[in-house]
Amino acid sequence: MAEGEPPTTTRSNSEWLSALRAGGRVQEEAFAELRLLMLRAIKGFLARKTPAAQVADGALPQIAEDCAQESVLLVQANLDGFRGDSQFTTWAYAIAIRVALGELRRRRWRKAALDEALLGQVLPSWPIDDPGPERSLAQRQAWALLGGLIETSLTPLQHKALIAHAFQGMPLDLVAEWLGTNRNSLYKLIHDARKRLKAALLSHGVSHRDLIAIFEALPPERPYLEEGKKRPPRDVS
Amino acid sequence: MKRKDFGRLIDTVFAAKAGEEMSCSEYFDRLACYAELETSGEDASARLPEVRHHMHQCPECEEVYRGLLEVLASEEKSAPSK
Repeated sequence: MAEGEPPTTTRSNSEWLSALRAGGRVQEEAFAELRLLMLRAIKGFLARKTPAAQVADGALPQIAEDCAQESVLLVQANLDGFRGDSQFTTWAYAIAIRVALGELRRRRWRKAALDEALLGQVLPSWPIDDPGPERSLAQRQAWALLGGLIETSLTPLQHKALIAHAFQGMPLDLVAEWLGTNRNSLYKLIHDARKRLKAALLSHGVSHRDLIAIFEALPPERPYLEEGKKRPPRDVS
Repeated sequence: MKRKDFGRLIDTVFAAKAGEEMSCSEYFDRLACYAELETSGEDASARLPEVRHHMHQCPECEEVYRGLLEVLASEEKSAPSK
């Protein structure tokens, strides 16, 4: 393989694992090959994903290099977590894309430059940015109810996390850092907040269908919810 | 917040399950398997419903899945023909 040329891997999963744990030159070569594979994947992904205006000229190659390096370290640290139920490279690519998207989100967030004093504090007076038809009375009433329930039915921590992430656009990893927790605990916190909100809305006689109809917020396709209609979820209470 | 994101927020509130849900780490443990099932034409959401549910509830995690599918499609295209 010429230097820098993206490899075409022919290693099986067990060959990858064995080489990555071998030590010495075999291990170094395996990590170098993996880094090139992940770098190629990240470069292609970033090129498709990132409008030129979003990142300063010439920054993408360096971002890709940094993400590939971080991805290799994560693979190394989590090698024992590979379950073997997919190609090893698919598992590694998932790590690489997660790292690359995390970096893009961090950059977008830094550019947004929200006043830190407002972080997780204040609900917007109206939740939807895009210009649309004039707000109806029903929409204003529904938002007043939903906003009021966010203010009154959540714990202070749930309130902060939901506002920062859902309404202010702060990436989950950064919300977790900000609140001094980790991604899994934050997901659980937001899940608990959703459960409380759901219960509060239902107790006010407001259903999912009601809210969606009022806000006309149905995206063109709702495949997951359609699946749910065909095959009722096991637990929707 | 964009209109579609607000709709998604409402969806996730009402789709919240009563008990615990799969965490982001557990999701990432199964994501590669889910993506390969999907790309091989199997009904991944039926085989791994908890992964599908997490994806619906966590748009950031879903974005990683979409990106992974793009990478797999790109790798497939660039693979030497057999």
